[in-house]
Amino acid sequence: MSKKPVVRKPSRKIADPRRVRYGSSWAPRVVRPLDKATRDTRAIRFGSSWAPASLRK
Amino acid sequence: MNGTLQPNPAVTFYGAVPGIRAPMRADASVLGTLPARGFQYCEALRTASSFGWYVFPPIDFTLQWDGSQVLWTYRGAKAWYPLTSAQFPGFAAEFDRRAPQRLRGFAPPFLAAVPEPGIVQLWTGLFVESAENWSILVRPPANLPRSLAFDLYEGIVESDRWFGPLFTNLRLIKTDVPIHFSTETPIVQVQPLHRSTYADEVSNRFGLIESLSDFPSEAWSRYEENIVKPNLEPARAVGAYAAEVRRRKRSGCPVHAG
Repeated sequence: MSKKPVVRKPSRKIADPRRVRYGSSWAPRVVRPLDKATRDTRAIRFGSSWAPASLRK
Repeated sequence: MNGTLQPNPAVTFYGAVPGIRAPMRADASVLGTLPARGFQYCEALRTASSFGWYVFPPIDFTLQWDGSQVLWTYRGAKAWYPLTSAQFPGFAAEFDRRAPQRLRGFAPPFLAAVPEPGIVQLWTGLFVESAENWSILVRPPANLPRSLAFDLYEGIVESDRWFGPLFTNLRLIKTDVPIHFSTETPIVQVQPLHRSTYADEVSNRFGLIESLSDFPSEAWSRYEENIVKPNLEPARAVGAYAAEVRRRKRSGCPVHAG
């Protein structure tokens, strides 16, 4: 008669606080819509990729 | 920013963001990353690597692209933010303090996502100008192993006629992974180009000898001198080309390779 497989609680040795992630499992945890320190009025744009001022929202 | 002014430099960088790392002369060893053999004996590699100046990101920051939207964060930030356009942290106020009144409110953005997917404009925190008839080529650092997560476009700017922010365009490649940019790793190499070197008159024409049978005798002689004879030397000196180029440089010849 075969022994029953033993199911144990996760070992402390392999517990991970999930502070470090890599690859595609990594995602920003806190995303906020606005940062006062870097707010830009969009008054200045450079390069040729920008729309003319009259078309800007 | 610390820098040493030389008389009539071909290119002058203006520090705009306070406290950023100054540009530095590009390095023949590519910051120590070149194989020792290449560094010691390959003058072509050394010359290309050390041509111009390294420019660094003004702050440590991270981008993440999901294929549509770019998120970003920076050293000291408490969160990630969707990127449309962003000032360098705290710079808008600093700009307004220093700029003439009529220019207040017109600080250049640090990062901006342009309409094309995954393309981000990055301002280095510097302005740039060059001497008359000199342009700058803004390109990835030569021979520095590149990130597989993003690529850089190259551009030539007539910076003697156009004074403005020194910026570059990034093309993000990898999605859903953080892409880090460090103030310790150069983001671009700026190289001075005299306008005559890339004029259409130069690029539109080139010489062509179509086959070996058309080689003039002088070409055969030069091949013999440069390639064949050194190979016949019983004790061939390594790095002979490198030694010769360096000797000419030391002699003060303005066109040392001539």
